[in-house]
Amino acid sequence: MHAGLSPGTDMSWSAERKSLPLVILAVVFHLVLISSQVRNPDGHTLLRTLGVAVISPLALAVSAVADSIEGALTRYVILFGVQERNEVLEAEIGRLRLENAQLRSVQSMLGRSTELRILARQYRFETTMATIVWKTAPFFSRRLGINIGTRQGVKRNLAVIGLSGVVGRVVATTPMSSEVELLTNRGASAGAMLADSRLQGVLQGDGSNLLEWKFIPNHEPVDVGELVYTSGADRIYPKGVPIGRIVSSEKGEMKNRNIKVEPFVDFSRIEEVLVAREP
Amino acid sequence: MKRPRPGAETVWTPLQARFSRTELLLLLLLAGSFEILLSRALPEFRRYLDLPLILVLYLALHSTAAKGAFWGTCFGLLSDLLLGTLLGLNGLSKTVIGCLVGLMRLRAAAQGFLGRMLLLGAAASLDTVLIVAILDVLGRPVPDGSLQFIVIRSCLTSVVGVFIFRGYDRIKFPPKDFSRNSIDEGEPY
Repeated sequence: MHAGLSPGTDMSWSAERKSLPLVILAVVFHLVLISSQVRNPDGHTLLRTLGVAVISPLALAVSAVADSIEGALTRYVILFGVQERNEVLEAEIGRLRLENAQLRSVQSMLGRSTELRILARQYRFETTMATIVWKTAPFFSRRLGINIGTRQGVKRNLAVIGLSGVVGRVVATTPMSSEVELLTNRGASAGAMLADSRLQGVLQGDGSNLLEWKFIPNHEPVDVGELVYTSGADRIYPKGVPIGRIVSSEKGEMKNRNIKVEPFVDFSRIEEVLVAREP
Repeated sequence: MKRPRPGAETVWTPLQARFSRTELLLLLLLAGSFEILLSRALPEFRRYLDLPLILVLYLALHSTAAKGAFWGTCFGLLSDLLLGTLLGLNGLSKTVIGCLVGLMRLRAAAQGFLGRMLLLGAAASLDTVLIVAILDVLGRPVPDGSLQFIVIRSCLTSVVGVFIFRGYDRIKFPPKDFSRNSIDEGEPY
C-alpha cells in the first residue's frame, strides 16, 4: 500500500477553497439541466434524443460483442440439452402447423364478409424487427433501446410489439437507434378493450409490473382472467394486439372500478421486438 | 507530479494517485459497458448496485474536491443516460458526494475494510436520499425511497465496492518486494 506514497501538493483547506467556484458551477449546471427538462413534461425530447445519440454507439458495440460471444458459446460450447430442445421444437412445429391450418380456414371465412374484411385489414401492419441493446433498471423509468432508428423508418410514437403482446412506443430516435418507453412506465398509456365484451378504456402504467385500467364504471362487469387487447383509439397502437390479462377487479370508492392488468410481455426477459411501421 | 514552489510548504498525503485522461475515459467506458451488460442480464439486480458511485468514490478519495466533483458529474450523467431519468439527477447527487468525499479528507479513514464499507454504504444512502429529495421537490413521482430499498442498495453497493476498491488498489498501488537488499547485490543506493 505504501508503495503509492508520494509527495502531494499543498492540500490545505485554502487550496480546497479555491476549487469551490468550480464545484458550485457544476452544481448550477445540473440544476439548470434538470429545470430545463422539468419545464417540458412531455419528455424533454431534444435532450433525450441527444442522450440516446451519446449512449447508442457504446450500447450497440457492447451489445454486438456480447451477442457474438453468447452466440459462439451456445453454438459451439454449451450444447447441453440441445437434443431435448430439438424434440420440444419439433412438437411445437407440429402444433403450429395445425394452428396455421385452422387460421387459414378462419381467414377464408373472414374474406367472405366485407365488414370483417375491413377488420381483418386493420390487423395487418408492416413491422420491422429490432434487437434490444439496453434496458433501464426498473427504478427511475422503464425504457429500452433498440438497434434500429430513422434510417430504418422508425419515427416517434410508433408502436413496439413483442411476440406475446404490446411492449410500448418509440419516444426518441437517432439514425441508428431508438428509445422505447414501456407501457408499464409511469405515465405511459394505451387505449384498450376487453376481448369478449369489447368494453373500452385507457390502460396506464404506474411504474410497477402491472397496468391500471382507468375509466371503467363500477356497474360494468369486469372479471378476473379476462383478456385485454388494444382498441386502436389512441392512434399509436394498432387495434387488436394483445396486452394482458386482468388480475384484479374491484368496485372503486368513486364511480370507476379499480382494475389491474398483468401484461403478457415479460419485460425482464424480452430480447427482440417488432416496430409497427404505421399505427 | 507537479513540483512544489521553492519555499512552499509540502504536505505528505497518503495514497495520492494520479489518473491519466485515458485511464479515466476507459473507466467511463467500462462502467457504461458493464451497466449495459448488467441491464440486459439482470435488470432487477442493477437497481440495487451503483457502479458509477463506487468509481466516483474511489476517484474522489484519491484526488481533490474539485476533481471529485468533476468525476461525479461525468459518472452521474452517464448514469442518467443509462437509467433514462432526468439528465442531471444522478449528476447532481454524485457531484455533491464526490466533492464531499474530497473535502472531508476521508482517505485515511477509508483504508481498512470496515472503513471502506461504511463510507460506501453512507455514500449510497446519501445518493438515494438526495435523488428522492430532488424528485420530491420537483413534484415528480418518487420511484422507491423506502428504508428497505435504501438499506439493500447501500449494503450491495458497499460489498461490491470494497472488492472493486481492493482490485483497483492492486493496479494503482502494486505491492512491492522490499525483501531484496540492494546493498548485498552491490547496487548503488
